[in-house]
Amino acid sequence: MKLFYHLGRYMLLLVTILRRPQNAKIYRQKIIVEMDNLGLESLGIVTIISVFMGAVVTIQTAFNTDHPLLPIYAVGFATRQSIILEFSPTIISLILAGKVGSRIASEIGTMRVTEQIDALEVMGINSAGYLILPKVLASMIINPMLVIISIFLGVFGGWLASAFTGVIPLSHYIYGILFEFSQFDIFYALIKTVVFAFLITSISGYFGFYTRGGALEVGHSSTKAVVFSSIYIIIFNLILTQILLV
Amino acid sequence: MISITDLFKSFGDEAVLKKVNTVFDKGKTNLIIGQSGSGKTVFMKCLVGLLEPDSGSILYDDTNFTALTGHQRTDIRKKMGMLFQGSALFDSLTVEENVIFPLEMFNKHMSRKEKLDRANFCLDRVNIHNVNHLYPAEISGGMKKRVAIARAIANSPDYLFCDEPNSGLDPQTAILIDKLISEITEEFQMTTVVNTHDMNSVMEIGQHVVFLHKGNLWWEGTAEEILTSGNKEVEHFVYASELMMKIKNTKRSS
Ligand SMILES: Nc1ncnc2c1ncn2[C@@H]1O[C@H](COP(=O)(O)OP(=O)(O)OP(=O)(O)O)[C@@H](O)[C@H]1O
Ligand SMILES: [Mg+2]
Repeated sequence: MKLFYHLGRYMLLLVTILRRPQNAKIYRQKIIVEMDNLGLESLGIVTIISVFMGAVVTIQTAFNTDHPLLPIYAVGFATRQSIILEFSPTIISLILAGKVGSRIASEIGTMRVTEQIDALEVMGINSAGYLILPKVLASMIINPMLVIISIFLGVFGGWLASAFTGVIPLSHYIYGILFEFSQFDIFYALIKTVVFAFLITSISGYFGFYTRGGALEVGHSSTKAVVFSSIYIIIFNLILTQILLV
Repeated sequence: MISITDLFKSFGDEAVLKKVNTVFDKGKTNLIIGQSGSGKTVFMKCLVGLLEPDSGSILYDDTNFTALTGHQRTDIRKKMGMLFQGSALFDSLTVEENVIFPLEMFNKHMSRKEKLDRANFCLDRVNIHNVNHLYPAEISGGMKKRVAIARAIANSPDYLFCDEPNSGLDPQTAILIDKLISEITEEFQMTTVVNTHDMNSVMEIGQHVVFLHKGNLWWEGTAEEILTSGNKEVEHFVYASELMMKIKNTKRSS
């Protein structure tokens, strides 16, 4: 029952958020600021995780596909595919759900419990739209860029692993990552990322916006934001994979 | 002018406002007083639409505010300014940006310079100087209140609401803020509504005083009249302090 209550309220909030902005110029400025806050500030963690995961995936694949019938370059091919299809769009989005989701929920939740949202409302401002829409749009723009970067860094991580551990010869790795490249896979990864960005920001905005109480509840909202964003990413990952790949 | 008719608000089984009727006039400082928990904040939140009353109506001049949907209320809300009990300044914005904010949002015809001038005028009016570029966390509680007043009047509102403007302030600053509110009310001919449980404020600026008790509008009148209301609950509230008792006794003996 509680699920339907939240779902209904979330849908109503979305309608409010998507109402025409009262001042397009201020919204545009906020989008730029949020792209910096939510996107560029995550670049460090995305870089570290992508390089290491790319390297680990390569080493793991090399050790576990040690079969005479499989060509060696298959390791490069498998690394590239797993990075593009799952690891970059899904895992990076999950990481961002933790980082960005908690940030959004606690920022908006604090504004709620200190009556800053009431102050916006009394001024006649669509507070939900003003606070949440720029974050949603900023993430939907910047997250795909982060994922593209992550894909390159992941493949680069595999290259580093091949070059320095010698699990497979470098030339085979490079042949593998260029083997039967399909643009549709990139398209699929970006579609997923954009949907996940929308889920993370709108769900976290929702939990922040409906915080009631004080500092303790802000903490709860922030936890819920991360948990539910992650769960919905996993669910939508399955749904989108079914729709797009099958 | 704000006219309130049969305003009723309850939370579950607890009726907080029971059929409140009154009129707040333009150019006057209207006070809502009463004990803690008597429903002052709930009353004010109903007036500005942060809470929905169960029944009754609130008219802003000729517009029935209660009948409007959230979206339709925007036009009236642009004419409102509100000072919250905890100031509610935007903590990601500087003092100056806070005051400019309502102007930025709605006054597309104003130039950047005009907005800055207006913000500085409002800050000057509340005696705030040299802190334009500090953040709310970096100024004192009394200064926050004053900046919040500046923000509330930035858009030249027709209606000003203040929830306990001087709670938590020293007596001197409290009186300063009270005076400020009453002065700007006259100066800009606003309809001002102030929540307070401070008798000093009542005597200082109470042109129209509404006394709430157990969810009812128990008594209303001027600050002068409140001293001789002849109403048991009102007397209880007014003469709660020794000081007010002394004033009462000296008045009697003279
Ligand atoms: N959101 C709410 N849910 C349930 N009850 C509420 C809510 N808000 C206020 N109340 C109840 O309404 C009554 C009046 O509260 P209100 O905040 O208006 O008092 P007040 O007169 O402003 O008191 P104070 O002077 O202490 O600020 C209280 O009994 C309170 O418990
Ligand atoms: Mg109160």
